[in-house]
Amino acid sequence: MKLRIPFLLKLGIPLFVLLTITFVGAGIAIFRDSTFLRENELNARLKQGGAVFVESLKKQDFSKINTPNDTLSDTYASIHDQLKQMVEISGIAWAGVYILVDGKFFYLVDADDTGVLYPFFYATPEHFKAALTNEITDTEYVDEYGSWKGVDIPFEINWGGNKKTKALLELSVDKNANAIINRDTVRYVSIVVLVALSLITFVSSILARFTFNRRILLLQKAGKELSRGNFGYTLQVTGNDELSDLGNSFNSMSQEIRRLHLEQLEMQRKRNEEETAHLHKIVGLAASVSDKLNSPLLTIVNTVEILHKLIDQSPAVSKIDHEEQGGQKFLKSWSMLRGAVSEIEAVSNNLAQLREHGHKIEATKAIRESASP
Amino acid sequence: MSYSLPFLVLPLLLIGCIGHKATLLRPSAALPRDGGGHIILDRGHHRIVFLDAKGEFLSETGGLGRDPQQLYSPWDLDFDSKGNIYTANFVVDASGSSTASDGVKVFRSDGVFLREVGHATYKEGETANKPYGIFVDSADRLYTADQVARTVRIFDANGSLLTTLFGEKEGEPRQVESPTDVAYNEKLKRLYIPENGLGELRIFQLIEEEGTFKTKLIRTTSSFGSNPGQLSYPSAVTIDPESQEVIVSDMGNIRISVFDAEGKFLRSFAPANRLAQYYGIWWNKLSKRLIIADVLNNNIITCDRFGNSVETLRGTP
Repeated sequence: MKLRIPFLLKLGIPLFVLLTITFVGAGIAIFRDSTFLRENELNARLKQGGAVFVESLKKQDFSKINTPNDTLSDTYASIHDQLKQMVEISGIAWAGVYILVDGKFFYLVDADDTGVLYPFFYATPEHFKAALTNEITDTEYVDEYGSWKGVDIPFEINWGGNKKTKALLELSVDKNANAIINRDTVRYVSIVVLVALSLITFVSSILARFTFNRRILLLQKAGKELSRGNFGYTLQVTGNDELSDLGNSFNSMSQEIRRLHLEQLEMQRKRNEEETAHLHKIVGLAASVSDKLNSPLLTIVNTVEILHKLIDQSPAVSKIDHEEQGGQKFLKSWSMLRGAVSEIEAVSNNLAQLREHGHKIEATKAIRESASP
Repeated sequence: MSYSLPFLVLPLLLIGCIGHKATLLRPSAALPRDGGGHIILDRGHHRIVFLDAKGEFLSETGGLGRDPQQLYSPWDLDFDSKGNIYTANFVVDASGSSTASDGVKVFRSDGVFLREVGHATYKEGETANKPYGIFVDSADRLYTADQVARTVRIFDANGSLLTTLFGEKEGEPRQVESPTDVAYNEKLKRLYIPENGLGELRIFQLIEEEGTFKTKLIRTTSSFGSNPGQLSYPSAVTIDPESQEVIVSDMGNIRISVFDAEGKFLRSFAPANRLAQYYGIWWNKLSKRLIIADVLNNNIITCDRFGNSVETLRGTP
């Protein structure tokens, strides 16, 4: 069975798909651009704020933080609180200070109290670049705590027996938290867009049903009328669009079919009349021939019958020598005469039958013509 | 041009979402899988993955999110007598700076989410429990090591809270500072708690009397440092019930340290033989092998209790 897809669905589905692709595509592009812009702004803000923050730190305090137990000290608490404030003010996820000792990075102080000298296993080339070139760098990495994106601001402290030690202030955002926010935003916006698109498509379908479908159904009905032989059926055309053009075309077509049909009927009628006249002539001729033949033929037949009887009864005929040439000729001629008379009789009968048949055909035609519209 | 890119990228993203991630990322704990293979807490991908004996990917559960069946920041794994898998998890707020909720999620052995035990939500600035390490005993009691709240909570097999041990108590010194894991020796009725920041292993007697629980500190062993017997940021602990040995992942010193039941240092070893971050450890009493999650190298290492006959499962799923 061939699947029948309503016209409105054929119209509505591509419309819905097209609208969805357009909205989603544009939405993604706008979302991506705005996210990119927001991240760039945040990045610039962190670099600026981080540099100011580093300037405000008392570098000599770091020399008092050497072991995990120092997390309980006032010095640690002071730096920790500043970092915590930085996190809250900037709306970031983490702020902390690493130190580079013997080619390895360790946490020194951070907003989450990870621990003094907790090994930082996940230093990237950007971390080393920042520490070794004194350049503020962007960093992105995944460690045991999560996925991070941020900036590293290098500075120098006295640490581990007043040795000059490279340190990095890192300010970072949680990529996982951002990913969830972005996903939730996309999900929320998608639902809103889908609902809106569904509504638009639904309303469009309703409007289309009122404006197009009713008129299409009228056209469909008109077509059925035409197929039933109701030539010349016309529909009421409203509006001024392609469908009304189609309706007008249908009406013209229906009128044209009716005109052609009437013409054909007229031609048929004329042809019938001509045929009837012709037949009438033939029948008349046959009747005339038959009538004209009838009287002389009857005389001939009667005469031949009389002659036949006379010849059969004549003694002279019985004496005819059948072997004699003259006798043979006479008998042959006599027989031929009788045969010819029989044939003329048959022709006369046929003409009489033809006349009868012609009358019957004329009568039938007359009945048909009187019955036709 | 830039606006046509999404039309090209979107199908690729959709295809990417359907496919499985190619490798493990920061696995923090692993368990043996019934029938061979491992159940791995693939922390960086916020999922639990099931691998067969050949290390081939079988299935996964979880995924990044805040929904009940999803994982945000899971740290440890254990399972109960029915094979249900437990993982401690916490979720941060939108800024990523403070904990929004936490709890222990329980999945069936086939990965179907069952329930969350000890679930709590927090307002901004409120102190969270933040469970890192967990332990499930033979009676299916769940023990959580709450690093921020400085507590150990015990839940019964139905997930009802039985007791909250330690924590901040006015006028009393803290008994634990930053517990990242807990293990319970059922025979000796002892709790072993690694003190992450202090580099210590604390041993408590757990006394249960008529439904109430008390603890008594038996010994604080070790101290922060890198010498034999010292610990640096110990992250996890497990017990070999046969030998009664207490095995600690000495993460900061990049080694595994082993103590006896009384806390006497016995030995240490470094099975990865290279820079590694040993995190979750679990003693498989059936195979008599230690299962170690190497977070840094994205590997799961197994070895005997002396650190020998090392096998490394590289992130293959």
